[in-house]
Amino acid sequence: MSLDYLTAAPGPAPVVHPGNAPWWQALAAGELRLPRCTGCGTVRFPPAEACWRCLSFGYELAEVTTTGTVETSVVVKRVTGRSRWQADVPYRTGLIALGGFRLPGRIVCSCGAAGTPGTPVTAGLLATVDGPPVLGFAHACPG
Amino acid sequence: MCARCRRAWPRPAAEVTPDAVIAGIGTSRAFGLRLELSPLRLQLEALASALADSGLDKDEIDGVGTSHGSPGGVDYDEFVLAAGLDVRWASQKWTHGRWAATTVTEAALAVQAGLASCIAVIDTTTSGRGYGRHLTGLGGRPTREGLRELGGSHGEWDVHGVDTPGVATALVARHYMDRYGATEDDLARVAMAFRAHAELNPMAIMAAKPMTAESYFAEPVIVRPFRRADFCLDSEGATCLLVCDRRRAAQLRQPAVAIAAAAGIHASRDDHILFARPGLGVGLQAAGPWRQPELDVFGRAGIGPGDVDGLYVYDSFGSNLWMVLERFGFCAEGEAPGYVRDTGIGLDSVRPVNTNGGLMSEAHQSGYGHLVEMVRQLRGQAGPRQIPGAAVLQWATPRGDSLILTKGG
Repeated sequence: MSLDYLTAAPGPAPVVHPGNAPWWQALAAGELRLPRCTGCGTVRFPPAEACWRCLSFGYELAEVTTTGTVETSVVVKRVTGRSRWQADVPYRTGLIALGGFRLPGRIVCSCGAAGTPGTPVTAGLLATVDGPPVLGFAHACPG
Repeated sequence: MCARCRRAWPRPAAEVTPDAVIAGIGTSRAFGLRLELSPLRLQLEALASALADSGLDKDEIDGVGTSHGSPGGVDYDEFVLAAGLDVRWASQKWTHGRWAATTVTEAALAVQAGLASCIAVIDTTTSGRGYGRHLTGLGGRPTREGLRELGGSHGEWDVHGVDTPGVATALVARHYMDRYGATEDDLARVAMAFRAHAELNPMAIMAAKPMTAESYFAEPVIVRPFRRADFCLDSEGATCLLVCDRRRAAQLRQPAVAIAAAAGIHASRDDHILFARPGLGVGLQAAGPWRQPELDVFGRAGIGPGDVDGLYVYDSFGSNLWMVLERFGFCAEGEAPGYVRDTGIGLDSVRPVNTNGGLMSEAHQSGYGHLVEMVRQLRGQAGPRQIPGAAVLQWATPRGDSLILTKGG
């Protein structure tokens, strides 16, 4: 299933280099994929060139479901770090239970329901200022 | 006489295994954010202070251990040159506050192994908003950890807006509160208790700023559940602990403080977020019941948690205390806020916590400020915040490292 762009202020881009380019390229193509180890079958999260379980380097990019639920989320009201998030506050970010993983991402939700654990969300793409998109999530707010 | 070459090689006298104690403590003259003093200046103040405290001569220092160097602190070799030392053992970690107990432990092991006999464990914390403004590349720079692809040490995910330990730990606290029903009142109790201690500590940056429930809730929310008061201070200063061979310490000015037991930093997929105990279910952690409290450090000291007269916690955020109380068996899973409410953590409780005011109300001395305070307490030199009869004190962090310091011994 292809991921749609979500409407939110762009954040900083990931650092893409030859070792990690495959999963960022898959995401930019609208696919939520994680490396699955060809040695032992472990799906690697966070995505990594080597398997944390068996140390194999081989992998294929396996598709992951795009619907999940909020585990925990917070709203950042004031930036505490780098100023390039300054334009984005307040924003909601959190951890999403999805496909047996716990994926981090900003959550687009205008109704506040995403503050409640268990709220369903759908994966999408968030544009960045100067690079490929990153994973984000959206709640289907009423209205 | 050597049987092979018939030569009389010099042979050192046999050594008994030395025992390491803390023989001296010192700090920079002040802690603060606008001291306008260079890291090296602060560190030399702390050295001079520790030498004066112990009566040790500078030339007797033959080892140096430090956590984080330049930028932000002072590299070991830079310090040795500036202080005119001549050491035979040196060790330096990398950035941040997590290494305080490990650096002291390593110094004690080096003394026990005979690698040095008197080690200055010395550390300076500098802020990008303070003197760091004057140092190239320091001001406002994000930590490298926050940019890691596998997630930062505190659970940061930079591209997802979890760009600082503060946002990452707010997720930890939020998750804990959702799971166990803790409230913002529970967080307030932690901040208020540490502030009350700071009011009795002239070195504390917040000594003259009392906190009431009303003033706590009036603090701006940074990232709920955290208000400004739930964060550690952003500050500068330096500390020094002199870890020495007990035989030499016995001849010095101050009563020795024994390093009774230690535990190292734990790290694994279940234990990768510095300010969350395993089993909580944040980051890559499995979300299970909290397995077992970690009692091994007590076993090595020959005591139990109930023998601890005072607890010193790496309180970069108020919720850290909950993690420590559960991790080290002071209460059961999910019961830490109740422990704080019912047993108490103030000076009038059975086991006061962070009598110096901690990172939240004294200063962010990367944990070393707590260790200096533990030594003061065990010597009976803590003035109006003295824990009566303090004989066993514990340093403990959510990431599993610990030190148990005891009186004399």
